[in-house]
Amino acid sequence: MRLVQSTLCRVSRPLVRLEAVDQRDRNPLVARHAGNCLRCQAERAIEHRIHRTLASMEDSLILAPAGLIPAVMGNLDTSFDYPEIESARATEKMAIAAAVVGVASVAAWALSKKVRSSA
Amino acid sequence: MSARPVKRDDEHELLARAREGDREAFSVLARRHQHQVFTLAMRLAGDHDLAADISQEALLRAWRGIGSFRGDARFSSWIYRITVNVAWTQLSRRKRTQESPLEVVENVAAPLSSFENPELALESANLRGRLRRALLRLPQRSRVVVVLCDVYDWSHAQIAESLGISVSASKVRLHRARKRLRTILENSP
Repeated sequence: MRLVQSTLCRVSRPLVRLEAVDQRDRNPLVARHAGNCLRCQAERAIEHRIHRTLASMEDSLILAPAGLIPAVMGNLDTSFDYPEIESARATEKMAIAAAVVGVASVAAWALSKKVRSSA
Repeated sequence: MSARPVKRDDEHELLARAREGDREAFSVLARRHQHQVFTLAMRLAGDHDLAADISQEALLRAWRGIGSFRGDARFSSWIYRITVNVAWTQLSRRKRTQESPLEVVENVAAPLSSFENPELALESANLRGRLRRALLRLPQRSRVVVVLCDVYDWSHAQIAESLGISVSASKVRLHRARKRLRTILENSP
C-alpha cells in the first residue's frame, strides 16, 4: 500500500507542479491523490509561492544609470551600431591574436632550443 | 524642433508630438519609461553594462520607429517588445553565460501590500533574493523565457513571436527552465 502511494506520489508530482503554476484543468486522479497527500500539497504550495514571487518581481524596479537618457538623446541622429561594443569586440580579437602570436613564438623558441641542443 | 512646454500627464500628446519629430516629447517619454526598460533588460541580460547598452539601443530604436507606432497597444508594451528584440539579438551575439552581480545593483521595492505583514514581507524578500540569484544561474535562453512568462506574464504566442521560435518551443523551454530553476533553488542556501 505504501509502495503504491509513493509511486502515485512520484507520478503525480510533476502534474501537481504544472497545475499549481498554469492553473490548467485539474486531472481528477491527480486532484484526488493530492487532496490526501501532504507531500503533494506541500509541493503545490511551494510552486505557488515561487510563481507568485516571480510575478511580484514585475513591480520592483532596477534604476537605470543616470547617463542613459543623455546618451540616448545625444545619439538620436547617429546610427546605432554601438561603437563601444564594436571596440570591445575588436580589442578582444586583438588580445586573442596577440596571445596566439605569443604562444607560437614561445613554442618556436623552445623547439629551436631543443633542436640546437640535440644537434 | 519645436520647444513647446510638455504636459507630463498626457502620453497621447507626447506620442503625437514625438511622431512629428519633437525630441523634447520623446525625451519625456524616454525618461518616464527608462527604469522599466532597464529593469527588463537587466533581467534578461543579467549584466549591468549589457543592460545599459540594450536599453540605449531599445530607446533609440523606439525613436526611429515611433512613426510606425499606431497606438493600438500601450506605449510601454511596444517599448518592452523592442527591448526584448534588442536583448535577444545582443544576447545571441554575445552568448555570455557567466553569473553577474545583479543583486548588488538591484534596487528592489517590495509591493506595498507585503508591508502589512512584516514576517511575510521578510520571507518574500528572502525568496525573491534567492529567485534573483537562481535566475542568473539559468542559461540565457531559459532565463529569457522564464522572465517573460513568469515575471512579465507574456503569453507563449508573444514570446514565440518576439524570439522567433515556435509556440511549442517556448512551452518546452519554459517547462525545462522552471524545472532547472527549482533544482537551483533546492540546491542553494
